[in-house]
Amino acid sequence: MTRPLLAFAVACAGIGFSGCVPESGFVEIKRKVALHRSDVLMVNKTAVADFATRESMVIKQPAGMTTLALKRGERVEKLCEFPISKNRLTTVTLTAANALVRCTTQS
Amino acid sequence: MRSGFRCLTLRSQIWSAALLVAVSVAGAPLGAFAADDTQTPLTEFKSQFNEVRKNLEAANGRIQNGARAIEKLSDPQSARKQVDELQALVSEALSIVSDNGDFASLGTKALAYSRSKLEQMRKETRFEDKDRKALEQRWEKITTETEKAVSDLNQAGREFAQLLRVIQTRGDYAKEVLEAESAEAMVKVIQNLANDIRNGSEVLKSFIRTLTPPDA
Repeated sequence: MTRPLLAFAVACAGIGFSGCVPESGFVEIKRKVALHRSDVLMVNKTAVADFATRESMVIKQPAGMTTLALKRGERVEKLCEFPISKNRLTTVTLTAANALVRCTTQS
Repeated sequence: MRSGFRCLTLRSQIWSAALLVAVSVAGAPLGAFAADDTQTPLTEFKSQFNEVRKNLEAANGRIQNGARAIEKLSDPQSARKQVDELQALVSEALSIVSDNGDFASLGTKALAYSRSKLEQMRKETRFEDKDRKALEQRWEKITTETEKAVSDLNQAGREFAQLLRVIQTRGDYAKEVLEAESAEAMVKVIQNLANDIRNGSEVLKSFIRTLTPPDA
């Protein structure tokens, strides 16, 4: 196959993969609880870097159900689950209650 | 709730294909686009900074145009459509500065690099003390400026998030008003939103103007 033809074939195949892009929204995570530097916040199993030192963060997420969890050492505590909608912001506030981290959501 | 997908229009798909063909036919090796050896996370961050600022300014301009458009609306359907479009515009801007975006990650790398260079200069033994101190002071300045640039971008993210929150909440309220009251009252709610957007957008405009890349 000549080079331009091969390129065209690759491009056409690419349309199949790139024609649709996932819809996304945002989650704003507000921290109102002290965390250890070693604590890792997980959003859908992806670690959020440096969250323990930040008061808030805005993270882009694919539309759909999102799970927030806190990893302390080897233990992973699920905090909450909430929907993310296209082009919308969901605010999650982490607070302390009875020595546990609680999470409230507003979408 | 299931994940949704937005399909590109046929025209944009054709453009994507054309672009891929052009790149392939040109035969440029992918390595030619890679950063050269002198590129550091800091220089990369600095070179992309002005582009990001331009994109944010452009997005903010489109948001202001959107605010002007909703003042002239007269029917609930176009009001709803305009609010959806505004949400999409603000989301586009927020994507640029979100904390898990490519640019935020580049900022984190640039800051780590700058801090490591500062640490290196503090411990440096190769140079005369006067020269070492000069380099240390230079890296102290660069580190402070990089910290400010990264922090300002975080602030921009929070401002766009706040704007998105205002638009979506007023949009939701307008929907409720349409159901409980009248189409006229609903349109009024959306028209009033123009003021909130204009105020938020003006704050952003001034803020974006002050964004300055580190002087490295």
